[in-house]
Amino acid sequence: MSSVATRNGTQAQAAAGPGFTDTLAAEWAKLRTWRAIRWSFALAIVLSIAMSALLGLVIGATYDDWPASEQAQFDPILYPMNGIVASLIGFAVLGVMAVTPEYGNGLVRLTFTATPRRSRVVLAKVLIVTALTLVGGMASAFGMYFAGQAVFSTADLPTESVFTGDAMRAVLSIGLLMPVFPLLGLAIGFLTRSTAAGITGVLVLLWAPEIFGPLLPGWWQENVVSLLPGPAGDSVIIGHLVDSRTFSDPAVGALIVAAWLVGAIALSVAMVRRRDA
Amino acid sequence: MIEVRGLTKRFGETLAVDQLSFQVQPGIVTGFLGPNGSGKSTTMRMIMGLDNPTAGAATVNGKDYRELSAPMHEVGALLDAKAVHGGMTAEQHLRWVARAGKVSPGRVPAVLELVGLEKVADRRTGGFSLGMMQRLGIATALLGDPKVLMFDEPVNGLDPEGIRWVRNLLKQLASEGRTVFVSSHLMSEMEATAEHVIVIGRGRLIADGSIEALTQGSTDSYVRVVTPKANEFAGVLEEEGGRIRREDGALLVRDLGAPAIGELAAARGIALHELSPHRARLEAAFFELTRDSVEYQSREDGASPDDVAVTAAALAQEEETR
Ligand SMILES: Nc1ncnc2c1ncn2[C@@H]1O[C@H](COP(=O)(O)OP(=O)(O)OP(=O)(O)O)[C@@H](O)[C@H]1O
Ligand SMILES: [Mg+2]
Repeated sequence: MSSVATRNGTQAQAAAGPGFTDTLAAEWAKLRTWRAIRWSFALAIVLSIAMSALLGLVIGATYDDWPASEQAQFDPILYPMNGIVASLIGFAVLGVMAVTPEYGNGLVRLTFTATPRRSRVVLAKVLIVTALTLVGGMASAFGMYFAGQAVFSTADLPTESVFTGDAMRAVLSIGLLMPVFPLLGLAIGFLTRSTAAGITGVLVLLWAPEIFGPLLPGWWQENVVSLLPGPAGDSVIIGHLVDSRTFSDPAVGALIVAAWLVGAIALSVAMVRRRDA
Repeated sequence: MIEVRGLTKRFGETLAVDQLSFQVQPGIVTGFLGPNGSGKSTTMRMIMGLDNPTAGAATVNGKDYRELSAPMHEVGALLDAKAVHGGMTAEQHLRWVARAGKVSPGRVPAVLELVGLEKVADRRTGGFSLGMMQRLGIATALLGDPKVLMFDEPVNGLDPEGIRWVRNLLKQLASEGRTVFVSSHLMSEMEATAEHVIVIGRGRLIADGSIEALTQGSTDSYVRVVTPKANEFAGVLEEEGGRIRREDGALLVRDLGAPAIGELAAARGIALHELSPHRARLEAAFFELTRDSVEYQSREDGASPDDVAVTAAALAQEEETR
């Protein structure tokens, strides 16, 4: 063995420290190889579209037997969007899994020795999760919509072009807002440092208002449940199609969502910097 | 150089590291010894900016680790060999670390070859043996070609050939002028590798010196003297400051060197049948030093009989049952 490590580059080059783009590239190189990330990404898209198509088939097959009152309620924009359940869960899990596995196996210590400025690591993960779930959310939203319309048209049901204002607002905002729960999942992951706690936490945040909200007195629905990220986001996505006491004005809804995201990410950064790794 | 000043770490009730101060110098291998739970890993995590000290400070090349602008080019560490994502290949693992530290990607094949993993570069680390994981961890530490290196139990899980390889590597790294700080439970291994050792117990500094100096102070370092005039000569030696134990008619003399004893015998005309210096094994010295600070008294039943992994805890137990 000659020399253990030959110096490559000059001392000046060696001293140049990594910047945020290096952290971002490193996090991407790391996360893209993780199976949990790949699976949750793929399943979120595929299952949401498949669910919408399947539901469309069921509706198409049974529509003629519906009572007239229910037939009148058929909405070609809303119905294809039911597959969103799968994409919401899948992408929320992706957000958690971008963080917690590292805490599980101790790899996070290597991450933070390579990048002692821990806020950079958090922000790099935020960007990656946002990008993935934005792209995946759009694919999911348009996929569900087109699959739904295709099935409806073969069943001779009413359809609606995606280019109408109502449809476009719903489909686009599903995609645009898809990163919300993954980012909250990421933050809960950083705070709990546990996969089980992270996934449980984000799913409770996601579904609690849906399940328990309607059971609460009106005042609570209007003033408390409406402040949760789910109802706030829904008032942007389907506020123009559906009425709910938990919905806000869409602009207010967007602000509430933004406040949740800023708060969750800021809290993550603060905790990650303060705590032992 | 690594410097630690008044370093203290408390986890709730546990005082893991207690007012620790020492320096690790470049150019030599410095061993970091202490019984289980004595705070070695915690100290290393604080040096690497991972755990926040309760009090005191640790610096690398005069700076807080978190303030180094290109940390991977200055310090490399193996803290936990198992901390690798099992789904990634060895090469993928090294590539993202290199990217994070702005290390040239050309270093990846270089360090893989250096640790002998080039043939399994494309294999998922999930299927690696503990020895292969250790090699990958060492490769990771060497990525940035740093001047300061720290290894937490690097020979853990290695076979004898692997242990020899690590020993030579550590020595070579030190001979290149690097600072090499390595913790280990293998006393005999430290003896063969390190020139200097820092011993801690219950988070406190117990000894900081060359192996030579440490073993000299041990009761197990003595000169064995056999002479027909044992009683007479014992008196002479005691007068000259020697401390004497008797064993099977022989005198075991401490605090006097063999040359001095020989001179004394010659001056008094006392015949010597044997004059043999005996240096304590580091193991014995280590046990004496840490006798009072052993954290866990359980016996390591799984330990293999020969020369391997003699922990202070096991040593203490042995001593007690004698
Ligand atoms: N994160 C933590 N939270 C609470 N206690 C901890 C933590 N890390 C270490 N300790 C405690 O601090 C003490 C020192 O542990 P440490 O791992 O540093 O010892 P060690 O010398 O590396 O031991 P070993 O030789 O077994 O590796 C132990 O009592 C341990 O239980
Ligand atoms: Mg340890």
